[in-house]
Amino acid sequence: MPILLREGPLNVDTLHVVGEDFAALLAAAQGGSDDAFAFLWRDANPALLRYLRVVAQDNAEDVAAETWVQVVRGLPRFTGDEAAWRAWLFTTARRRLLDQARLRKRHPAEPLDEISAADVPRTAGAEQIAMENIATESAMALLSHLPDRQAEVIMLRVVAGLDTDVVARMLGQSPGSVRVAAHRGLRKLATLLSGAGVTL
Amino acid sequence: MPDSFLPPPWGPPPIDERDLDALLSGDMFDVPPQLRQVADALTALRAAPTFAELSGEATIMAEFRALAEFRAYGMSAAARPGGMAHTLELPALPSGLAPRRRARHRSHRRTGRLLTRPMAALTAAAAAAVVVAAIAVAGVLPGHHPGTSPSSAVSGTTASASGGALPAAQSASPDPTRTHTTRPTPTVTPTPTQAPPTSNVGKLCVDYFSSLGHAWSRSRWASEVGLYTELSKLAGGGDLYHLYKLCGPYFGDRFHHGSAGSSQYPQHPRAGTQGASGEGGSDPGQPGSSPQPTAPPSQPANGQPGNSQPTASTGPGL
Repeated sequence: MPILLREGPLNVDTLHVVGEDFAALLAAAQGGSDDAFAFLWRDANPALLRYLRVVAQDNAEDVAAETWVQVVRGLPRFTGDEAAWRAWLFTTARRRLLDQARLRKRHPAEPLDEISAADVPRTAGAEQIAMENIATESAMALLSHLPDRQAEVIMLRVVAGLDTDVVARMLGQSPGSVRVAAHRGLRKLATLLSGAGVTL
Repeated sequence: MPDSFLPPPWGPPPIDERDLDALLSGDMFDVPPQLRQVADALTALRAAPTFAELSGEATIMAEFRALAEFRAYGMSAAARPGGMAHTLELPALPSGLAPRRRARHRSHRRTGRLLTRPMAALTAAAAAAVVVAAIAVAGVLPGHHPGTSPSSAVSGTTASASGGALPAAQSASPDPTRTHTTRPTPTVTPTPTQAPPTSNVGKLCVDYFSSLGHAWSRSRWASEVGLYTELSKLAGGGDLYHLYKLCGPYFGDRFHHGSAGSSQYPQHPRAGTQGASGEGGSDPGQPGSSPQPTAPPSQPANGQPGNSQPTASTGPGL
């Protein structure tokens, strides 16, 4: 069963992806069930990677891998609903990102080679996936033109599905400032899109 | 018919913040036209995952399985009573042994020097007290005269001896506890008009009244008693009148309570009116200058006051 990030293009539910089965899935994963944990991972990892690609363009995969290692180690101690689960996941990712940034600042390194998304082998339905991938990549590239704070807030609100209060706690800001940053980002997006004549 | 087809000057309507909140929440119904492209971009961000985004599943699942097995083994090993465990279990210490304390840093460790500081202060204070006591016992204090040692005073040696009586007394009864220090100066300062007490009586008077000016001590008390005894014999009485009458000439103004030039005390035998042996001069050890042990020559037999009054200017003094 293909797992979609969201149910549909017009009416998307950013807060509940797994839905009512989340509690059972969590309990099974904490008990050691591979399938349950795999389901949780497939549900959250794409959003996590997209968020990391916008805020940390170079080492998004490394940060994501470290984030999941931390999540696996702390999984038996986690308690909460799906919103709390996502908040915990992205908070861990943000902390890993800050640690990576400090480490890279002290020990700068350059990658030897890069594999672009176009070189990755694709399965059937690759054209549609590629179209969607292009749209996703274009959207992420468009967000990279925004200030860092605005882009991060939009990604956490839209892709991670976190509400304003949770994002405010993660960033250490007030909910009002988070809302203002998001609105400003969207207005700028509208300006960029209307001025560039980009169609997605 | 319109003159121009230009867009209205008011432009597109402003973006409502409620529309922005709706976009962020995922509500894409009734999106205003100016935000439709933004809505599409946000939708693209929420698109289905790609193959690349799901390629790292094997790695994380391996990590998950390893941890799950480790936890399962740990739980099962804990449940087993006699099973083999990887953790080394140390035997419990005997009840009599106390757990070893963590070693302290050298800088935090107390040294023995800290403990001896108050002891050193106490020792120094005790040593000082011993020294003071020894000095007090020895009698070597300011104002004390070597010739007026307690032994010599108690023995009742009179001043009728020669001028070397004091030295004789001193040599006759050597006090091993005494330490010979510099002779203390008397507290009574001589006035220019007074002659120094060169006679034995004068010396006794000076010593006695000087000792009265010092703080009481046991050694001084003995010497004072001796001096008092001798002076009483010389003065013919132990009351202050006789003593003043005897010693007055040697202290001059100090004993004068009347008008200037008048004195209520007997005059010194060697005052200006009596002889030319030396008015205020020094007569060390002359037999003639030494008063009789019972009474001075100027003193009347009845000892009535006011009969002889030494003058301040003529009487020898200090």
